Amino acid sequence: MRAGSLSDSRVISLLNRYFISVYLSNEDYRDGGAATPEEKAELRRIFGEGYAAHLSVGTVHVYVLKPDGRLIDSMHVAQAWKPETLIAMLDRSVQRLHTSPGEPVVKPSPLPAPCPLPNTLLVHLVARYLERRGDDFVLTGQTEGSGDWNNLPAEDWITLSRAEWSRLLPPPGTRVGQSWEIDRQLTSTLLTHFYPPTENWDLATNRLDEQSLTATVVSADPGSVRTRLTGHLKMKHPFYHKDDDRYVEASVVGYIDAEPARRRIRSFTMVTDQAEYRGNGADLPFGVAVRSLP
Amino acid sequence: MQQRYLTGLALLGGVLSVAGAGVTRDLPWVRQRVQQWQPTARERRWEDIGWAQGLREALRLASRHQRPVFLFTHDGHLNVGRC
Repeated sequence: MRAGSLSDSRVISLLNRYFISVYLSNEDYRDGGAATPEEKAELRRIFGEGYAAHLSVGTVHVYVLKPDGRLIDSMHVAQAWKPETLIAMLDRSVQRLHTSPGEPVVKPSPLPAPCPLPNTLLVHLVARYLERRGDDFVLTGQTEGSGDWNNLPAEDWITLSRAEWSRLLPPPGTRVGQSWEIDRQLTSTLLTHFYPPTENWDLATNRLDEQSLTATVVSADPGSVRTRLTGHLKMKHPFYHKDDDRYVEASVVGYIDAEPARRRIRSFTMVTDQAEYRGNGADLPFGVAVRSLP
Repeated sequence: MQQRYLTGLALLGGVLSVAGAGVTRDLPWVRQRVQQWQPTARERRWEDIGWAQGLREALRLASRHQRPVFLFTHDGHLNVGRC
């Protein structure tokens, strides 16, 4: 949906001018999910109305509700991801309800980054498939409405506690040219996010079979130290929420600019140098980019 | 569709091992990679939609402004593309 109809200019315009748009994650609405009991009850009520009206009902769907909240139309995302199909549904609802166009009720705005907690290091990660072009790799699918969800990057926000990010600082007395191995637990915390967009986002299904992250001081002055990171990982990562033989293999390189005396990290960046998602007869190039914020 | 796409990517990836050979992986190179791989404006087009903060809030706004609700239910985390 994100790569397809929800990125289509006509769909965006229709939704903003005529509708109140909302999305929800099913995980939040299951038993134990984060949604409030009142929110869960509303979703159950909508599903119930769909069953009663013999409309399509399911977890990955789009629904149109009247201004009074009653369900009037629905569609599985297998159809709704196609802009023309969704546009027809939206137009149908507008005509049926005689809705007048207007300015967006909810002003569109970029999704904000999480607020870092005190003494933490907030790290942003982007993972995406790549295509080889010449001697380099480029982004996939940069055309509007391509519809392939695989073309979209995945993002993670990782919060490192003070105890964790402190392990990225060079041990006292470390000189230029000296190396050390980054704490294995911290390495695991970071590298377990190094997988491309798939239909499985459960980190518990990732299994790091090989991991290393070596730091080397490359420059130092009285106030700051620059450290170079190199490492690799081999990690099992099932594509779906069921077991398979697919795995990630990647080498990584990065840099940390730090002020050890002040126990401060100025910046932390790391990327995959070479990375493939392997298995099932396919070796897929992808890239991961990590940066600390702000 | 997914499988066809993945197979195509696999063919593209067959020469991964020689890509970028000879390029120094220094800090400017890393920073350039980080910049290049950030989500593009095209990939963030869906953020041009005004999204209500939750189902009940959407219903409240719909009643107040006499507009229909467009509800999208999905698995995973749409906002970060892990879905």
